[in-house]
Amino acid sequence: MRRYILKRLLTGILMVVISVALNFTLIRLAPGDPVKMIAGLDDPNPEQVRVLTEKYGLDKSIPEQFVIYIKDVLHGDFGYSYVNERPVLEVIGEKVVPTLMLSLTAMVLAVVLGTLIGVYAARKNGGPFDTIMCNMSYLFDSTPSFWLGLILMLVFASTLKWVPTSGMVNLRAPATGIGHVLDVLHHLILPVSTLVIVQFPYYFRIARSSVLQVMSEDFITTFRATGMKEKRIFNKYVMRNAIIPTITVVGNSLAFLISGTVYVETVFSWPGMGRLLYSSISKRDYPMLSGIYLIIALSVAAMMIVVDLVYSVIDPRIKYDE
Amino acid sequence: MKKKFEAVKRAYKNNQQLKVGTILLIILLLCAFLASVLAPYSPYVLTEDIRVGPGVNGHLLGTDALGHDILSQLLFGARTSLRIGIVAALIAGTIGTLIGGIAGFFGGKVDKFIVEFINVFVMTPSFFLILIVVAMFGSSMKYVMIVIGLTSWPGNARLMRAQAISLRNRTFVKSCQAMGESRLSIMFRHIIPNGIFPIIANTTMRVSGAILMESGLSFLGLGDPNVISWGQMISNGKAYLTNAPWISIVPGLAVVLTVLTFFLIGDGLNRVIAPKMNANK
Repeated sequence: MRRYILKRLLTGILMVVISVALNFTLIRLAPGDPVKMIAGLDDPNPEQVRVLTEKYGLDKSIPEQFVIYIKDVLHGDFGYSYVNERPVLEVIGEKVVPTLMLSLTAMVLAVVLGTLIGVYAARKNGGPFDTIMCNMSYLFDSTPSFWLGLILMLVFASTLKWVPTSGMVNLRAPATGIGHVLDVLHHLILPVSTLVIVQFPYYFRIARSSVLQVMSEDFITTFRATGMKEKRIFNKYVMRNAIIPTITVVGNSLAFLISGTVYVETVFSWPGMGRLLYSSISKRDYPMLSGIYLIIALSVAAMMIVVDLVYSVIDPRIKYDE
Repeated sequence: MKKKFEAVKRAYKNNQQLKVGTILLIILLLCAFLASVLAPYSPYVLTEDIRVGPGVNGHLLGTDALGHDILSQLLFGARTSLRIGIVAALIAGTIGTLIGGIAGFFGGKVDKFIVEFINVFVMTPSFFLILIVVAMFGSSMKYVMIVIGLTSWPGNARLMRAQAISLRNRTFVKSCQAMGESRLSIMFRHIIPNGIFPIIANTTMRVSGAILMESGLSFLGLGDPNVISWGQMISNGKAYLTNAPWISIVPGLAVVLTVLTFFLIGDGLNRVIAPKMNANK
């Protein structure tokens, strides 16, 4: 077990280093000069260029810059954003909360709804409910989230005026305390619904197919032959085995919580990581981009390791030293 | 191989997904190929009718804020979506088949290394990589296709690896080895042709993913500005959502339909390969 954890940790670290290095190089090889962006001029004077280039260490080679970056990161310094004129970590910290609020709420709802409906559909396999839900899952799986967001916005915000169109708080009537919370929740409804609708088919299909798969196993037939009650077979033996794939995919989705909401954030002007990333790309904010990428790579690696461990506890068939 | 295709033919008859999917695909392909014949206007021409609704002045689906005929743009947009989707999926399919085939057939250290590499690759946040590459290196259609293809091969590689492992100990492969056929030749002449079927199904599914990705990139303004794309059309209509909703709604429906098409075909093919799933239905 210990060796297994150690190995997973090493792979995780390796993955973070490789993906950050790749991304670091890509960003710096890209055309477009950050010095011009910082200076804010098309044609800054040479003195200014020299000072800015030195200030941000852009005169060194890419490997040198990378080593310096890694050293700084290990000291907890993620760099300084050119554009925001603030430390990268501070900006990210500010944007991570709204994104998590959005993506975590949506994910929990999608997982619960998808799994419940999936299990139910599998029990009523072939019935009208199953057929309708299967077709719906195809349809929503094919729907781009940004378009669905626009449609929901058109119907529920612009036409019916039930919910606000975009943003996170009502800027015209800023509220404090409980009013603020309610205001944010009110703004959260549409983006969360959009995400839930496009995400639930995934969990639905996994729950449905794994329940069906377990039900067709020989040991279930044996239980039936012994005259065990259908309900007991289902709750005790089918569910336990069928839930494992769901746990894996939930873990995988957890890893991409920070990065999975770019479209929805763009549509609903939600002030989160997705929009931060988008604006950093267009402004060539290198330290910001590297920072965002590093945070994402770290969270992905951490989640994958956690999922592997949880998985091996739940499913004793998995061997640790493979 | 031939047997399998006959199996497809037989299964086709009672496979709803495959049937509906193929019909939709034929319609889509016709739209794309005949775009220049079917389109009532050039997709680039600015007509006198600004933001008129569907059916007004002979514009079947209306016009956008600049006076482009939406139906014409839709037809030409089909070309972009299909081309990017299919090419990207083919790139992913080819890379996946080769890497997976080598890993599974050669085995040993090569296999171990490739498996670890795939594990690491799957964990890299590929969506961000795509965004960064497209945003920074330019968003010509070529880049979009290549970068989507290069980041979505691991699923295919895993499938092909499993196929190669199960095939490599079969008698006909062993006899080829005994006759002194080179390993590479065995791989290309026997392993890949015999194991390719699940990869074909998966690649069809991947076309939908690539089309969704492309429309998303164009929606964010990171698509190729020189071609007409559905994502871009949706984005153009965003500002006029309340007074001219058709500008965004129509191309969105087109995306849904196209993605659904490849989804149905891929899933239908999968059911042909794994009849067990079918029995449960």
